[in-house]
Amino acid sequence: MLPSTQRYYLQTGPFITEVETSIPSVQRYLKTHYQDNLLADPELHFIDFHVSLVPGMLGRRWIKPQARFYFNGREPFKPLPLNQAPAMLEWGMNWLITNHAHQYLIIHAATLEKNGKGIIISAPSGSGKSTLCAYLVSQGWRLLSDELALVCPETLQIHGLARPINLKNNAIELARRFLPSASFGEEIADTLKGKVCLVKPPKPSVAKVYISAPISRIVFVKYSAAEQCYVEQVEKCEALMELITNSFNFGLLNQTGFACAKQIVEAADAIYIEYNQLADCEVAIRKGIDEKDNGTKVGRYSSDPHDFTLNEPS
Amino acid sequence: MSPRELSQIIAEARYYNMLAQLKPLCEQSDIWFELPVEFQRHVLSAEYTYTNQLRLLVQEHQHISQLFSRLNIRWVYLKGAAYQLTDIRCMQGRLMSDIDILVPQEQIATAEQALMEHGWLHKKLTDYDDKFYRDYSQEIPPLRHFDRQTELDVHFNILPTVLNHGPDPVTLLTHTHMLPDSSGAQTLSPEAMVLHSAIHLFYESEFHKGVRDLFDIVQLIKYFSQQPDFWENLVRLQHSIGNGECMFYAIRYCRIIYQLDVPEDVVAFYEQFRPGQLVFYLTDPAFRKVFSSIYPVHNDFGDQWYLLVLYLRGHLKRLPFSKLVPHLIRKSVYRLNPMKKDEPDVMI
Repeated sequence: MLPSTQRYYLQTGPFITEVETSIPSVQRYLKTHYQDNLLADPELHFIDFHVSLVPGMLGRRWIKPQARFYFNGREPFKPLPLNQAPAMLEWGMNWLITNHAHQYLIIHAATLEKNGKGIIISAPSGSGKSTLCAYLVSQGWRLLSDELALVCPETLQIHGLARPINLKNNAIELARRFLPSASFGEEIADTLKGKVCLVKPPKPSVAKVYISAPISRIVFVKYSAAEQCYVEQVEKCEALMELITNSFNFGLLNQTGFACAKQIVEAADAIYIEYNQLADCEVAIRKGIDEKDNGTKVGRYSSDPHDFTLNEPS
Repeated sequence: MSPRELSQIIAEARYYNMLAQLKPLCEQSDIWFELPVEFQRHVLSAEYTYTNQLRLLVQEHQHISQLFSRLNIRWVYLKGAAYQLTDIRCMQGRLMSDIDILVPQEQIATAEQALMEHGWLHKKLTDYDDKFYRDYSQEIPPLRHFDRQTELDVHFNILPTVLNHGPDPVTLLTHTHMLPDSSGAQTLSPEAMVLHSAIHLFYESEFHKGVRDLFDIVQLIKYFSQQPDFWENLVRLQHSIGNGECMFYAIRYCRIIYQLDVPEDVVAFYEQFRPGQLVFYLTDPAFRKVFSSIYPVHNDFGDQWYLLVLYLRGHLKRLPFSKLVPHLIRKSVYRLNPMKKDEPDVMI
């Protein structure tokens, strides 16, 4: 028997997305990972995006089954293997935002908040951004987003999505050490990015998603097996160039985009961290760099992630 | 209006690529400020896209002008690019998918050569597609600038070359105006612009953006008919250009769906181009449907029939039967081969 089509209404930060799907893995995924985001009374809300995920047509239901993503009656992507459907939904929702939410300057970066201070973690793919993001979440940081920094050009606040964290390959095993096992979804092998696992954000992050945060720090990170934790201050102009390069709609927003990116780097300080110890990296993010040293190698901390205790910043 | 209804309007306007046009329309009706912010922000997001397109268009216009004026190539902007460059106010917010230009047949080779030397490259095509474009269609294979990523369609004809009843591009090339910026670029005269839009729309076989395209014609006519000789010029050009059926249909649905005011004598003039009873009986309900709404959620089961009628009509109009059948077979075989698909859009 064919599974029945269900409609779900996900409130993720500023967006409400209608997801219509008959794919059981997506239905299961939404019930577990979006448990706290599902709207009970969709009729009362303005729906931003209408999305559907359906299995492939005819033969493609049984032979190499496929998942297809539709937005607003059109199909922006090629189908993917059916087992990747939940990841496809996440990628699709990212695509919706980067293409249709130009009320924000959108930067490819993780965003988190602690004690009212927001940070942007920017890094190229594969440099441990999501791992660090997951670790910070385990240490009580509030997750805004693991992929997209949404910055309002008028207020310069970052807006959160509190959607699942997308972990890849080795990061999955690593993150199992510090995040509750119940938050991990089914592992999806052989995607374009390798093995993927979606990790549900903690309840408080979801509950407070509507609270935006000012940007106090921009963090550029790189995982490096040889460095325990190396920290360096980043020049404002370099930070600006990095933000621009990693932005999805900087060019499209034109002067608004430039003014916004410029104000971000003026207001926030920027650091570069190379690390192999997550705990040290977190300390470095919180404390910044040792002002006494002249920008050369500083900030070597040592501690085991398991023994790490949280000190509230003074 | 309920939140649900408002979000349907956004979704539907997005489907027709008309989101950015909602702002001037809502402002004219004096309802913009009453709309909830959730609604407004989608329109404003699209407005950013529109403003950016305009900026890119002006930039490309400068590049093309520099290149073509040096080589004495004549070029005419068509459709979206023309509406924006001539600054037709009621076309504010109208998005375009690429820049269309018309170049006289004898200058096509020079123009293509020059464009390719300056970074405009053909998208990857099979040999069949390339041949199809050049021999059967009305344009050379689409160009994209390798760095700026803007897309350019260079037309040498109004309708596919294989049609012997298409309008002669030379006639349209005599109905042009210079752009006021002394770049040497031209656009079609008002009556030619309207006729060109109508001919294009009624030679389509897919009508996903039919609502938008008909609305273009409504807006153009409303704007141009303020000039006293517009209707007279339209009828005069119609005599020499042919394809009167297209304008017959255009006027018919502009009146039915948008209550456009058209002088009685013009309506009467176009009556002679009404298609035969059988064709009219098949196409009229189909056109009424696609011009009111074909947003998928509004479609009933029977509507697929209308879309099929128009799909076949469009293809039969565009290609002679002897060419159409092999073409459709080739295309469907091609589609079955998964190795030859385009690169997917990038996902994160």
